[in-house]
Amino acid sequence: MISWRGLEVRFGAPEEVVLGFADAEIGQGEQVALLGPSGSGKTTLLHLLAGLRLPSRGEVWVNGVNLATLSEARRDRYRRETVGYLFQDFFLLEGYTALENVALGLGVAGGRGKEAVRQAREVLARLGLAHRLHHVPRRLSMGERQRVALARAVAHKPKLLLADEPTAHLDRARAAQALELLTGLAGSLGATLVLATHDPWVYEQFGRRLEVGPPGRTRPSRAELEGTA
Amino acid sequence: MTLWIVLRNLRVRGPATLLTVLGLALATAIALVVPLMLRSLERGAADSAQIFDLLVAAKGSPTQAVLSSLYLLQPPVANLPYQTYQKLLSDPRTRRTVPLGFGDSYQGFPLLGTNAQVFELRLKPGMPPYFRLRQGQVFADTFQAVLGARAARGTGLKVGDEFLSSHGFFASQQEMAQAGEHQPQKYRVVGVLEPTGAAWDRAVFVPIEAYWEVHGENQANRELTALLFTGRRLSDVYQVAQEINRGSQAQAIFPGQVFAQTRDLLLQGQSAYGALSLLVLFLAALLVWLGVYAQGLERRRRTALLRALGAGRGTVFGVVLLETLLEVLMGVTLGVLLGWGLANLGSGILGERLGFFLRAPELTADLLGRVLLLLPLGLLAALPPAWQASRESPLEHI
Repeated sequence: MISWRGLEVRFGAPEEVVLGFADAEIGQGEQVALLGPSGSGKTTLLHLLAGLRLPSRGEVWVNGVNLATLSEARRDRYRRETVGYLFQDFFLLEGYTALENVALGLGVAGGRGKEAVRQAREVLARLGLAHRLHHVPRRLSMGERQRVALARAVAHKPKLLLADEPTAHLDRARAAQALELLTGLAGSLGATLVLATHDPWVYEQFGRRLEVGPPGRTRPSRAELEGTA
Repeated sequence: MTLWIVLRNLRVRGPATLLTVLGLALATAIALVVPLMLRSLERGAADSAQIFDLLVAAKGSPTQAVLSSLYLLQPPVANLPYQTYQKLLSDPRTRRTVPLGFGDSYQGFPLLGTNAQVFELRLKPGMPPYFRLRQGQVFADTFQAVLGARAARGTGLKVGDEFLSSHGFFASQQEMAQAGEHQPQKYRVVGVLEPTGAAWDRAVFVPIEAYWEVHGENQANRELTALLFTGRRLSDVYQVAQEINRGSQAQAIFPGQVFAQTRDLLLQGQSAYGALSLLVLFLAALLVWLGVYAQGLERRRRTALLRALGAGRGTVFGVVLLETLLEVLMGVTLGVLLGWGLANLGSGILGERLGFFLRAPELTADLLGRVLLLLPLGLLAALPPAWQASRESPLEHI
């Protein structure tokens, strides 16, 4: 069970931006889409759920634990054991092969070298990338890179899968395939899926939907101060 | 898993890793190669000066006496009268007196007229003789010869071979002026010595009686180039040295003086080189520092990803530090091997030029300590970026 209450994140100078999020609760295994324009705070909300950022106000609860009360080391552990994160732009390491990128995620989650590589190989094969194991990201297509990133996010069998704009680089047909893969994998793992998108079509594919933003400001922007807004 | 990540990071940074490792290896080799070679030379020189208590030569420059008698590098200025030798032979304070007479050569290798006691000289009482036979035996008859290791290799002579000596090369200046040519003398090789690591390797040891006979020196006008004196007690050595130095014909030189002369002559600039090699090591540490900083954004992306995936601050700190440590270790190891190889090669070349076999270079603790200084220096260079990586928020690079 994931929930957040009275959540607010403030960003600093030159203009203070305040992101507020309506309270919500998500049950274990639910699949939820977050919709909002660029800058509305979708990614920030995913960071909050991953424990990568702490809110300025309010609370994020995961399985009965307020993430803000955890020490940094405990939040690191929460992230490597519970969270799978599919980053926008994939965040694959250049120079590492597809296999190594996935094994790296498993290794951080506690897998041992050879065992991590074996598991990574299995997951990539399941995602149809058995023939691309030793290719570095720049030699993979956009769709293949996304599947490598997805493999890294799910390889350690997380209970919470966070996906940030996973269809941003794909055409409609490929986006549909990617969503099917993502939701299918989350379902098979029994993981909660929270997906951020700015694409209404993607948003419509989910039964549970939440809208995010727009952001508020407590101080005028520089453009406003200079009278050019 | 940290090591797994580190090894992949080093591979990903392939060319940069290679350059850093090569730079470190070269710096290490530079810091090692000359001291290794010079110390081989130094050890050979130190040992060769420790097999006797006093070098007794004609009055004059002690440096020239050392260079001519022990390093066979310059002709002696003057000779010692036979009486000096006789007097020491009969002196009750004498344990051993070894005459040295130069004047002839074979294919550029000096003939050293001496007695069989030379083969009894030892670094310390109880130790095996300094000159060890590789083949054959020591001379027992007037025109028999025992070859130093270098002389044997240089001339190609073997036990049982005969050769004709020629006059000159190491005749004293006085003798060169006075004496004319003498007939070549036939010698038979009866033994070959093991290398000593000193100039003795170039010598062809023959009985001093042959030297006198060839040069037509009878009992009345016999001379020596120098002699090596070993006393029964330490106090005897000082007494004898004082007595000789008080006289007008001879000088007594202590081995310590001999060694100091050698150091001054052969090991010039060693301390300057030591300072220079330290500077090179500091430059190598700077190279490590540059290498770590040159990774910049790429390293930050890598550590940000690790942190985002759940790696703790300690892990990313360790990854950056271990990467540097491995680079430095690889560089230093490669450098030690390279330095060792070059020192062996250089010792061979230097030995060839000096005319004797230099001993195999010995990697002493102080030399190793000097290059291992790169480890803390390298780690020090890696600390700031490692600290920075552990403190940085992964959100800045996601």
